[in-house]
Amino acid sequence: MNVNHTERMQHLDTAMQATGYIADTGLLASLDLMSVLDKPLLLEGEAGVGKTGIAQSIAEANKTELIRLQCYEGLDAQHAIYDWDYQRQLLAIQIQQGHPDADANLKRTIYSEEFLLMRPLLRAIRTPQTSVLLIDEIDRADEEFEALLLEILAEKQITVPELGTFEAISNPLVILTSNGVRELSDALRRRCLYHYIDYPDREKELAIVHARIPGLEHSLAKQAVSFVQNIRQERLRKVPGVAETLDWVAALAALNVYDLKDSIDSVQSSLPALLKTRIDTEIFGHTDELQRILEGRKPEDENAG
Amino acid sequence: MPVEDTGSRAARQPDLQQSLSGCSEEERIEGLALAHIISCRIQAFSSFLADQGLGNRNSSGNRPGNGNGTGYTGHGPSALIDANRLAASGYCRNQLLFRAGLKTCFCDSPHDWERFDHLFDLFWFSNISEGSDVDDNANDPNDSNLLQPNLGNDNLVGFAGTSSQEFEAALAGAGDFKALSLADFRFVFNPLQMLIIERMVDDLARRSRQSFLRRRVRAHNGTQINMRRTLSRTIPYNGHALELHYLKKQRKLPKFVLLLDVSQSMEVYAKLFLRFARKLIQVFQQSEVFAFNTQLIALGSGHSVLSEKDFEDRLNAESRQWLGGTKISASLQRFNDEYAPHVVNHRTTVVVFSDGCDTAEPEELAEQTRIIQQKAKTLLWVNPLLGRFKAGEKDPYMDPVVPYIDKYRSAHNIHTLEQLKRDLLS
Repeated sequence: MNVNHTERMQHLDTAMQATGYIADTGLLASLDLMSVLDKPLLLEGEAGVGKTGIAQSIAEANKTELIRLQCYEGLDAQHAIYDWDYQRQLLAIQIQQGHPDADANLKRTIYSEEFLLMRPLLRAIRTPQTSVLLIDEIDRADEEFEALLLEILAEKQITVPELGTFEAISNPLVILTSNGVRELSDALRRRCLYHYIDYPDREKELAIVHARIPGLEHSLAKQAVSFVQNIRQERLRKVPGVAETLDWVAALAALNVYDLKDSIDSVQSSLPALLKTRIDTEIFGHTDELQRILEGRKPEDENAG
Repeated sequence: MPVEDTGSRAARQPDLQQSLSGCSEEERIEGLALAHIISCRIQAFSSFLADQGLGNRNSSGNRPGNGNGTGYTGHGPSALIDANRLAASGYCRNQLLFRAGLKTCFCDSPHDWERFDHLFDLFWFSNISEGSDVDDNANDPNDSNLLQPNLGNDNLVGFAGTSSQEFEAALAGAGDFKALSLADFRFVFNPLQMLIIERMVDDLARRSRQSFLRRRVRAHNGTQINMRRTLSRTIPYNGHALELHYLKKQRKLPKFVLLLDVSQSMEVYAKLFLRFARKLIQVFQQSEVFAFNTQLIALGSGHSVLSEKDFEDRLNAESRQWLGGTKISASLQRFNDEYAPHVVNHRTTVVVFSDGCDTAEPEELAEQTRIIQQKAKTLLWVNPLLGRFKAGEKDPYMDPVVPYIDKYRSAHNIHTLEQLKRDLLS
């Protein structure tokens, strides 16, 4: 039996670590299964936990192109698959006007690949080397686009009425991300492998901080991560993700903070890098609250209860 | 894992016969037998997961029936094929990877993801039989309480105590979806049935957006010309604008404001209504949810969608100060004074889920209801106890209020909840 998967995963783990992404075994298995089962991977999780970073890291680790399709409400085939460069087509028509064979050649000329604008989905299947196709925030796109995407993912070919069918010449690694803004269709979920990315635990987050911010004092990193882990347990409007942790630690380092307990003022001033709503900043920006979270104490009313 | 081209990836697709081609006859037979056993176990695991309510749904949002009345067929064939393929590729030799691989194949939501490890341990490391009902929160698989009915989060204010009531639940065909959809929520004790109902409620809310979008699709053409598209369509006609392209009408999703009564008298229904409300604001993002018992609290809007646990936690946290005695009119008055000016307008459908059992005079409730009705597009009142009154029987709490309600409905089971969905979108 083929048992190279362990080696493949170790290789992938090393390569991703080199790009600054720390992946756990479950995620590595999901990424490996993408190739083994030849299926797209749907990554779901809160904003800022590193879903998009996975695709970027894989592309970088494999030294391949990352083709990104950012989804939004109203996204349609013209922006996702292909479109005609109609300004250039108009110019071509004007240039050929007066030419004796213009009428015969015109349609063939202006509907050629030369005037075709390849959008991410078409580009991904027409790139000679296997690329990483990131369909980011699929939950922001409409249901109609989901159906269109399903067809392309299943058929691995795209038909342009004027030119014919474009077969896939490479098989991209497809990663879809979702923040859960909208429920995705069951048809899409069924066609994808699924992985839920949660907030990292203390050890993993510490490793991420060290990987992404090399040369950082270990004690500062440890204190900062501990603070973030504690504050995630509080009732926040917006729970900070890994991206916010990295921003905040970078801000602390820039402010020459070496010990959080000795630099409460600096912690206060750097808090906007971590907390992203006014109410959260107001509540947790107080010295007493900061001190409490640093010490990992529960709020007094909870202790009393 | 270097990225391979299509050919080499296809060549690496696990094929058992090919993998065993270099082995001796004995090894080959042993390998095939082992593969058969693993395949059977995976199939049983898939059925076990489905029995526990974990897995994919079909395109209509419901689980497909298997014809034997139990309702579940397990996961779709593609998930099962994937699981077998990953086992054949060598994943089953490493417990950690096997678990991770099956999790990736069989889960399709954060809820499934959270439950999977516990179910995996139960199936592969204990002697739980297939078809057993298991509680997510239990740690000891040998605990006999695992198989007892559990109505969920007893800590949630207003939801406790139901299990002590001795109803003679007469559910014809326990696994029958039709029977279940007609069963009053207060008669559902089995956790698996409750799980099915919760899924139905989720699907109902989710499908309501789909129904709405379908209606929009029928009349999507607008009256304004889309210049860019029209110009691009002049190309085949040598620059003559023979085909016009119109801008699509701007889509305006309906806006709902949901007011949920979570008092003791509504405890049986409140959890499902909360679930329905949470799903509804997820799909109709401009909507808002409020809950009340003795006071009114804002639970959130579609733009700050909370997880189900956060939703319940917030309700629990905010309701610590609540005392006995439901104050519906006072809560609605606060809603009218503080929130209604911002969240209710002529486009808003206000839905009140309540039995109307107020400690204050019914006239006070009628007055507050009248104020809401004047501001909103529609005021829909859902009273799950409505069906219990006989024709002509008086309801001292609600009779003075009814004249100020546009639509007065009951939603005590899935069937009536479906009708409520139609009312919401009409």
